[in-house]
Amino acid sequence: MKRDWQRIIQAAGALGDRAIPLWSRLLGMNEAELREWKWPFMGSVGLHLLIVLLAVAGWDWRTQEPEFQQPQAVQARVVQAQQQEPEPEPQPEPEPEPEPEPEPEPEPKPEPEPEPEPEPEPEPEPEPEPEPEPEPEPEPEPEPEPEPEPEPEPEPEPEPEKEQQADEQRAEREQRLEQLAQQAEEAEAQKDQKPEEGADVEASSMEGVNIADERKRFNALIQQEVQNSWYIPPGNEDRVVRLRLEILPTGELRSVELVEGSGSQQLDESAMSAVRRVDSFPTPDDSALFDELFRGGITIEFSPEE
Amino acid sequence: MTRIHCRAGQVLTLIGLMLAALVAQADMVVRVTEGADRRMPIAVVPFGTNHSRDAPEDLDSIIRDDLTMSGDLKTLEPSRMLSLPTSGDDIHFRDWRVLGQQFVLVGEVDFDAERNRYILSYELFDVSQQERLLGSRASAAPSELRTLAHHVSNRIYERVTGIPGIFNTRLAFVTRTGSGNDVEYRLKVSDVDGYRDQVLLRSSEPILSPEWSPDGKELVYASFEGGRPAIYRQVVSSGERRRIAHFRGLNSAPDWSPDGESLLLTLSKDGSADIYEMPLDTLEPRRLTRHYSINTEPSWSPDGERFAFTSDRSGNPQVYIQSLGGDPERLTFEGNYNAHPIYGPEGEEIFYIHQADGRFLLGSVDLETGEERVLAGSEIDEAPAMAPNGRLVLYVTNAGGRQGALEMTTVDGNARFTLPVRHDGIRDPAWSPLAE
Repeated sequence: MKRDWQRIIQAAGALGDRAIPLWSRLLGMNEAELREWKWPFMGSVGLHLLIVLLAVAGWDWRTQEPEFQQPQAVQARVVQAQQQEPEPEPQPEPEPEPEPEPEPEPEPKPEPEPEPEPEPEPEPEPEPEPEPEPEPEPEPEPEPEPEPEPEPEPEPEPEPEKEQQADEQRAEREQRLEQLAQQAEEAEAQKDQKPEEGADVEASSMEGVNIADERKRFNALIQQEVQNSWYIPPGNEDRVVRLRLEILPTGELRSVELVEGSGSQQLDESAMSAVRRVDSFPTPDDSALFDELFRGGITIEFSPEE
Repeated sequence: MTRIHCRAGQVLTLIGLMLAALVAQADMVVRVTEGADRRMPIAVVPFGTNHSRDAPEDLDSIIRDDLTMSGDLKTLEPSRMLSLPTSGDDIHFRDWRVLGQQFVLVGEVDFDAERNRYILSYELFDVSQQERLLGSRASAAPSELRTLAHHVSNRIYERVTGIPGIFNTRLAFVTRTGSGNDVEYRLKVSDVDGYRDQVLLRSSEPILSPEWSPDGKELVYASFEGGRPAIYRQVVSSGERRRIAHFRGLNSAPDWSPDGESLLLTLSKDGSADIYEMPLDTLEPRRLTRHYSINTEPSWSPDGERFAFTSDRSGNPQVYIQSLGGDPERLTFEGNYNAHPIYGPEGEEIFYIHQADGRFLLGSVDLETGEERVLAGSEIDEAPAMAPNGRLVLYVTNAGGRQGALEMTTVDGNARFTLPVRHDGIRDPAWSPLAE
């Protein structure tokens, strides 16, 4: 070990001795003076070399604490972004896969449900909703086909080993295509789910809403409200009053009209008073459902029973 | 296969949507058959005064009592009122809406010293529609302020129900005071609320069954003065009276015909107690029932073509009806005691006293269906009387310590009201026809 150090010092000294003439020319000093400073100079050169080495190799002296905090903040943001994204952005996952993406993107998500009228007569296909479905299915199929076709044709010429290789390659391609088709289906499935979620959030869709049930429910609610505010003048058991009401989505009474009088001024007035006494009529939050149930106004029939 | 299912699902969805669209086109029709309360809420605000003279009567208080007594209106206590407007301009409808009122009555009382008359200006409003239903002025001498209040009650009641008010009608009844040799029977008339009673006849012998003439000017009744029963006819305003039936045996239970031309009454001059019709011009009775049992308490139907009565021909008292020239038909079958029938004003229903579990209750039978029912909570001790507007039945009750109380119930049994004035030994109340 001691010898090694002696050799290194000797080598360094020899290197220094050889470099002295070069340095004397560069610095304009005579060689004798330089020989006196040989060892301090070599030490200085060695130190600089060490610093350069360390700089090249890289030494990260920063503490890691700030980096721990930063990811937490970043993570929180990412979570928010993911929650908001589902509506505006189609599918984050299919992106890496080139083929399925182009089709799912054109999805007409927001519109499909609110348009019941444009589907008057014919086939089930033209409906806006089914459209996105048929599209993804055909795509995985056409793509795998063109590829295997050209390949098997050139194959028959070569030898049986090559045929085997070709079969293997074809099997690989088919497997890959199957994977792609599967991914495309998954992407499609996600796409189909999104409008429903959107409907829940926006409350603008009536998909899954049984209008007849809702009609019955709101009929009962309104009946209860009116009943609670109706004071029946005596002796009108066989009479009937019909009123036509326009109700605002907020539940306020917009207008009331006597459609059919009972023949009793008092009973007619009591019915008018009853509907005006209702502070707020029960109405659905869903604007589309409101339109369905209250669009043309509602009729209230007052027929006192004993 | 999956595709086929998918297609089928789409087709079904489309059909469902189309059906839903069709259903959606039908308007919503809400049918309401019941109300919040059978009594309509009304606020009678204490009237303002534009004079320094104290009125002898509290007009708004009388009106409140009248409307409450009707059983069809529910009045608001003044202490619960949020404001006390005296004219329509002062009304904040929100106040009355908050209190759940359907109507509000406001008014002011003035005094005309020259004419010595009080003048009441009043206005009736529908709260929810903020509409004036009535607005008028009426005046009366200081002694007639109760009449003025009843008049206003009538107008309000009629305006909000469409039914004539009975607040200016009168009652006739008999009281019995004293005991032993000091017994005194009095035939009295009073306002419908029992106030302002007057004595028409005093007697040491029983007075029974007073009945009003259709014009409300006369009474008929049975009196035992002189030791034998007789039927008397008396003019209320003058006190002039005349004996019109004094046959051997029973002379009782007179009932004036709707046209005022004759009486139904119970006589036993031919042996058994039977129902007779007696024209008031000839005073010659015609026998209508023939049965050895007791047949009594006749009541004319409103059309004057038939009558109801009580008979014990089945072994115990039951209610029967019979046309003037026909045979009797038994009406009541529930219980062992159904007596003293009176026709409802429309002639479709008969009310009577029904005994059950040792108590006498008000019963009724529907003449079309034969359905019998008992009005809950009405304990009767005397014969009932029907209000001329057909909305109330009046009877005497001693139940619950209410000795000699006159009580009213609505014909549907939903509301009862005890008159504030009581008389000892009260019996046989009769209700006058509607005032002209």
